[in-house]
Amino acid sequence: MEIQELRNSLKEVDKNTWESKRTGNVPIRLYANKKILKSMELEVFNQAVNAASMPGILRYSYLFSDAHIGYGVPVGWAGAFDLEKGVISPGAIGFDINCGMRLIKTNLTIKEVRPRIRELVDTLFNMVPAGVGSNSSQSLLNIKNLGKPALKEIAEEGMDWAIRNGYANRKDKERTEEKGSIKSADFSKVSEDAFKRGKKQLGTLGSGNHYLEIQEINKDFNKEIANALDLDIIQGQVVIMFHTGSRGFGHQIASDYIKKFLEYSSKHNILLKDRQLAYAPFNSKEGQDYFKAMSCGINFAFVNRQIITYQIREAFKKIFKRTEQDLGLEVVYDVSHNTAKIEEYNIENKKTKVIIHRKGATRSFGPGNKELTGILKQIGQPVIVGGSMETGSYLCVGTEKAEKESFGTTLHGSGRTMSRVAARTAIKPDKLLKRMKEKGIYIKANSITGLTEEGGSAYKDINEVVNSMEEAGISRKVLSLKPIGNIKG
Amino acid sequence: MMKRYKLLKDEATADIAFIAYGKDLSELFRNISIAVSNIMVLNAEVNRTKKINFTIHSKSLDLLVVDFINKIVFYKDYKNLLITDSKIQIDKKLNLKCQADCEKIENLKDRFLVDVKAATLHELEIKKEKGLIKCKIVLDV
Repeated sequence: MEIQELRNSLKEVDKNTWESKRTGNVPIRLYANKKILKSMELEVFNQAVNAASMPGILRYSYLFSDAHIGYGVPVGWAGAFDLEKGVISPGAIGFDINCGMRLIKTNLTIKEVRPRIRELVDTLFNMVPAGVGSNSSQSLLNIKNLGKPALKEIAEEGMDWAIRNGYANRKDKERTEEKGSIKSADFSKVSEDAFKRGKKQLGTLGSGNHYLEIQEINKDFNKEIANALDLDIIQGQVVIMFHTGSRGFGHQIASDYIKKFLEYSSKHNILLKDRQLAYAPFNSKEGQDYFKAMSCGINFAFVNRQIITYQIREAFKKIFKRTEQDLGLEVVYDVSHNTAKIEEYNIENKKTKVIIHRKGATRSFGPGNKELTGILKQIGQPVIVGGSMETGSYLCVGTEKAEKESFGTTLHGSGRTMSRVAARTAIKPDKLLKRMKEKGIYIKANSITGLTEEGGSAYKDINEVVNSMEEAGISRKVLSLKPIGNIKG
Repeated sequence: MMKRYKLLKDEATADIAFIAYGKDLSELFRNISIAVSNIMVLNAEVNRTKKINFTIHSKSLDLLVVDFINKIVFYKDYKNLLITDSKIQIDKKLNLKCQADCEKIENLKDRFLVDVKAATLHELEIKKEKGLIKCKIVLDV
């Protein structure tokens, strides 16, 4: 079936829930409203079809409302694979392993923060290394030259290392997906090059679509859940959101294993539809080696976001001359985007473990899930949806329906509509800066060109993509958040 | 004068795609390195205060492109050096020798446009047309 024909043949089986006929091993399922479906690039469906042909894929090749073209599979895609018959693929996870979002609350109000936003953003810009060439030596990390033993501990222990070394508290760990520590990590499976890139970049934000924002709570959609997270409890409450991942460490792991998997494919006469989607059986030596190395990338990213949290806390203490407790600088939640993890689901009335790949997609566990603790068990897992720097972001929660239907997965952001090169031409830097100023957003960036690539019109309408998922019952809106200060690498 | 490379506006939604040109493989790879540095830094080629040499080997020509770009990325991340120009020799067994001109990242800081993090195999294509070798590549940024 031609791809155009496949897209036209999608049937709406439930509100904003579209299905194709079986293609490869499973059908495609897309969560989006009709408008988004119509505007989605055809190549997105082609890539979803390629993924549907991978061995051991279960139920569907999933697309979410923020999906756009990726390498191998789209960004905004998920697929669960059988542990015995299924595969693992770096291209179906992404280069930036555990790229993710963290939301931190404060007890500060917009009235307290607005007059000092310039000073605050400038201080954060100096204390959180960002941009190309930023490295650990500019961070507040006490270890200036990370050796192999320290990086091994970070990669294998994740947040437990951060607690032991004074960068995190117990609640930070509780409020991080997987409690910030994946046990399957094995540093011996990570290359020397990955170690060398990683040791330089811990505690840094990076560049591209990585950012740090000071935001004001704009609108509540579910006051009860917001209040349970200590949000929206004071008028004009200010929060901090940031987006970053495993930096060069994760990229190197992905590059290394794509090459290894290409060799595996060649050796075993596997005909790949797309070489970027090279895979190995999950239970093979090659598959397990990658799973263990990729798990190191997941833990590294958790620690990276934690060191940045530590630096944010120090910056706020410096500016407001109050204690961390008084400022209420607590992690609301930390979610992962690019991962493959073993999770248990009910398949045909049988509890079954799968290796769920999420690429540019967020876990979306509902209330009562055994992985959730404390208040989250009652309200569901927070899902942080980052929007463009002009349009704002959302805090949502996961649902039981997501666990039943989409292997507990939902969208991750607004999704791009325009290439970076096209955005450089279409978005004029002076107009963008003027618009940001008019909206009351103070911005500090290393690169103005980098900034134009991230302008609001380069992205889909975040309200549409978030509402699509809410109407499909896969995640629920809690709050919308409006930027007042932004740092870009 | 032959164009060294062309950025592709309508491809790679989240990243950057380009086509590099060369009369032979040495020139193609040199132009790939120039394209990558100019994607990262405005007027990158004017800076060259350091020199480095390296060799790589790959099993196919397209993987050699990926490995070459990933080597440039590695030097940027690990040695804080951006390769701004290069002299390339490639033998029939796909052994690549590179003598590269570099600049320290700290000296380029205010001219950075975007960070290249990896070369991908996505739509990677090398073909010969009218005596010219063309290579299309998508970079993860």
